[in-house]
Amino acid sequence: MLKKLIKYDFRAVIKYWWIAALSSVVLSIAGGWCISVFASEKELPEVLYLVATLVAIVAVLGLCAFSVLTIVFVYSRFYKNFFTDEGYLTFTLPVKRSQLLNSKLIASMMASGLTSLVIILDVAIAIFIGLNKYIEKDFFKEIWDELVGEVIRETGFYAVIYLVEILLLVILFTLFSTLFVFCCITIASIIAKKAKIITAIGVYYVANSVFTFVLQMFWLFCFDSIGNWLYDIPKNLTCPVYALIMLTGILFFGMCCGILYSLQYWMLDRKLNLS
Amino acid sequence: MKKILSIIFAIVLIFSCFAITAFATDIAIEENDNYDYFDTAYYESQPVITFSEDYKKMYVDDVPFSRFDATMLSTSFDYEVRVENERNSSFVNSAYVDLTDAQKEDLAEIYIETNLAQNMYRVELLFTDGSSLIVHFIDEEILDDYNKVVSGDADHYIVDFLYPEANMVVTEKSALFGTTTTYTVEDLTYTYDFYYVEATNKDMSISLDAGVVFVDGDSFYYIDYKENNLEHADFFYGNSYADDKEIVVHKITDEALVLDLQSALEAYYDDDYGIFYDDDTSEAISAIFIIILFAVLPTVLFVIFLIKAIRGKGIYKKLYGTVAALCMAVVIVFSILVSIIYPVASQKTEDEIIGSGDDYVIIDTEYEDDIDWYGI
Repeated sequence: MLKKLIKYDFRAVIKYWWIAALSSVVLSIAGGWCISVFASEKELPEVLYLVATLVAIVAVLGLCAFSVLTIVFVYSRFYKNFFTDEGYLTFTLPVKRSQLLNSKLIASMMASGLTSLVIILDVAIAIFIGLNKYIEKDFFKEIWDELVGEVIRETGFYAVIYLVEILLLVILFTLFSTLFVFCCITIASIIAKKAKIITAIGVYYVANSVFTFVLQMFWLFCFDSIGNWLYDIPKNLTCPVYALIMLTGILFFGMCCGILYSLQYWMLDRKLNLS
Repeated sequence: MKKILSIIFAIVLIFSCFAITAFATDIAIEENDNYDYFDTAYYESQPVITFSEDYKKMYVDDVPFSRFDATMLSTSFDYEVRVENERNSSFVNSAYVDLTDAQKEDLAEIYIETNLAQNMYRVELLFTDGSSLIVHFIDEEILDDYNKVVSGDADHYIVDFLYPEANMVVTEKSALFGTTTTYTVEDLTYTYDFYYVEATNKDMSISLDAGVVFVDGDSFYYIDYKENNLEHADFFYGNSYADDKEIVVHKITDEALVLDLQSALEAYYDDDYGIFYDDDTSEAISAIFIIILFAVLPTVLFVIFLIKAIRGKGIYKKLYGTVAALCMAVVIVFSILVSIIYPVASQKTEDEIIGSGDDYVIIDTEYEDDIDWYGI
């Protein structure tokens, strides 16, 4: 049943998403042309620079709008499906509430992943079209050697562990952000009878401010000290220490996700008043 | 509820409007700054710079500036320069350069920097044929001051304790030179922190890095660059000197100066600003913060969720149990991490204290000085 739920949730998100994705690809092609105009060594007419500037602005705004639209699609689906009249039907489906929540989470993660891939593709297209002439044959090999190759040479087997840990961190951070917004929407739907969306924005604003404040304090006080401590670590211990630091981060985010998930589930299960 | 939400919404809206207005004003100012070249009223407040035909003299609003050798002078202040339609966008102040027709034909771009008092200028001239010329100019009125400073006969020497600015000790050259001793480069650079000493004129508009002061126990020592044939950049940014090169060091014996230096140093440590620069305080705060975040908080959450898991039923038992397990996992991994890092960090601190005397305070005073003038 979960598969079916995911299918419908994903389909609902992707219904209009592909138009935005396709538009962003087209805009990235236009952006690539703009880069080629700016990078050109020839003397081009002034009007061409003006047009290229305008197109570049539209392309950048388009890319931003694409990622924002994905977020809007995901959260509006969550809100409509759970907290409007549609919610009454949703909760009468013969499925567990955890399955309903999981399907929303998985669909939103998939949409976020796809959006990230499309944005990376857009940037690659723009660079490839715009700087095609200037990219030398061994450019990517050199980049690989200098960036990734260097890390592999320095860290050996730990490079694989780092990669897995970074991927896990990215996934957990996306999950955390999604659950964070889901919780804000749910809290707003519980406490407000009307103007639920505005309340949700308010709740998000307050919760995000608290979260950001803690994060800022952490960086303000700890950034230099952590740097000092890490600087003192003997070379033979550097790799395992970095791996452990990332593992701590993963578990910490996992813990936060677990708490948010529990809170979200509890609110859906016990606090929701669909009447 | 509706009223409260309306008020919150109104506040957010008002602040957004302020932000947009500020942003738009900022853009408008920037636009005006960048593109309004021919607004004569705008130029009324800008200094007008002209050159003699051969660039041997420069005039800023008719005050003559002469060419000079600016090796090792400090403090610079960037100008955005406007020459016809040429412009540089990254500078913080502006001037209008009025060129003759011949100069307009020859010059492609001009970059100008000046000191805070605007009585010394560094001008980079880029010609249309691709060649370039860097010239330094000085206000003729302060030429004597300049010569005194670079010849080592400055009116004032400033020992600079960085933050806050009031922590500067102004003294005379003779007070810095006390009893002589020698240190090797290795003894110095790996053991002490250094505070800059600058030679300046009376109004402190010209300054030259003259040397450094360091503290060992209750004593202050001075190293003079000129005496040791050192350059500021060599001393601070990796030098090619052998570690066993001997440097002449003067123990400061002038009692008044020693007292001034002690009080300035104390003021430096006592100032609230210091928490960001005193590694001990900073590291203590960081350690407390990190322990709360990664040990205390997860432990408290572990207890709460464990109790909930024991009392809960069905899916709640699983959910709370998983969260409790994750909390405990955070604590365990964090403990392993601390058990690795703490012995290394504490060992290092111990080494430093042994190596640098009882009164040694770990403090990083090296900062990115403006070295635009070096090697010119």
